[in-house]
Amino acid sequence: MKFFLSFFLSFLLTPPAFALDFTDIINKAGEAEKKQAREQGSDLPVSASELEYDLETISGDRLALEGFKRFGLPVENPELQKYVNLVGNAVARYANCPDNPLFFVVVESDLFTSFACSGGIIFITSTFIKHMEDESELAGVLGHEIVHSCHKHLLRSVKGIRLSEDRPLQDMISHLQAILFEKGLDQDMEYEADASGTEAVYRTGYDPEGFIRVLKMLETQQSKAVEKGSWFSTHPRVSERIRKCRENMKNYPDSAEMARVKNRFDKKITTK
Amino acid sequence: MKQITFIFIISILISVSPRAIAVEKVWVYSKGASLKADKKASSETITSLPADTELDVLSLEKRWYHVSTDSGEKGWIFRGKVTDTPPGEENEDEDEESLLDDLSDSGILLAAADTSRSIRGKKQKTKAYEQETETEEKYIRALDTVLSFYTTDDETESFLEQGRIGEYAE
Repeated sequence: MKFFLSFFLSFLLTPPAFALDFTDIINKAGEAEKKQAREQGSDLPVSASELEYDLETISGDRLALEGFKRFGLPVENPELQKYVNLVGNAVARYANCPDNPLFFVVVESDLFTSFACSGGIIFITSTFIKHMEDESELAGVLGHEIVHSCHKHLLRSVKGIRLSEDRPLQDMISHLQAILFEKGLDQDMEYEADASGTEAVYRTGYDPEGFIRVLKMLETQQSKAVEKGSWFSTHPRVSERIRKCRENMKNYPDSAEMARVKNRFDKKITTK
Repeated sequence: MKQITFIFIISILISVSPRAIAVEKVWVYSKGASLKADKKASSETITSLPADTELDVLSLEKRWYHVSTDSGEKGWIFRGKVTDTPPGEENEDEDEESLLDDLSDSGILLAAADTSRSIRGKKQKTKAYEQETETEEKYIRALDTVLSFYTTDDETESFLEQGRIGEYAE
């Protein structure tokens, strides 16, 4: 897209220290690679997809740092963190994601929320997990976030936005932050994440109705949780989401036979 | 008489015309898929199946497809690992063009901020940002911790097996 072209060109043309450092790194790295390539007689190896991934991860790291500031630090429970990563990676296998790794983190917070930074870092709060009943519910929520991550919804949300000429990277990240933590993604992206996430959960072998149970739990919490930053402030109306998910359940006629794995979930959530 | 003859001829034509055989196909959807000798995860692996491999469906029993590959090998595959949507048609409504599609031939596309592409560690630019903005140590450590949460395929497989999830449920 043209805005990305202008965004990168602006690094080459303008002087602010931050942009120059980025450009300097690009140029120096480029020169080193060019030299190596000349010596080896080959073309430069770097592809658009690799640079795109760099952009995702750089912005994702910044968003994650902001996420810790806003919502809290990782829960100091390695077993719980490992468990959530295993559930997430199990679902990701069946979500047709690119090969890039995903990282899941439970943060200590009173809010009911989860979100996906660009670059594969996915947050979920301790309070949100504690109010779930079984592993299929956790899988449902993580499935939703995995779809956001794998389909690059956050980055796609800023396509076409006019960035400032002197600080395009910082400007882009500011827009990403506003969307992720305040405004929320486009409703269609949210509904897509609900539907595709549920599909991934079902493929994995979990009960896809787990996600609907979570939405119903959130509905009962909604009246108490009007704080900024909760799922309610950044997502479509819960009742509408439940309705759409219910409609999709016709695709999963044997959902009642699918795994919920309550015992393991209870054990891991209460582990200190 | 002419009408009867006409109907008779049409009937003959219909009876001898080749019928379209409905061969259902599926495509491998997830990584790590394999063709199994029986409809259980613990059965012998006949061959591994890369993503997008096309398979002919012979039957569906519970959550396992009995399939045949192009090379004629027959076996079983867990239904969660296949899709009946041909590759490339999954997200037709989504804007799938690269976010940087204008830059594919640009000299800008060099190995920019990081060269360790096989490992998703903290980016150099992130470290520089943390220094420049004097990010508190606790947040720096938090990010480092999260980026150390690697999960291997074997761990994930074992996790599914222990939970009796998916192909391990039978």
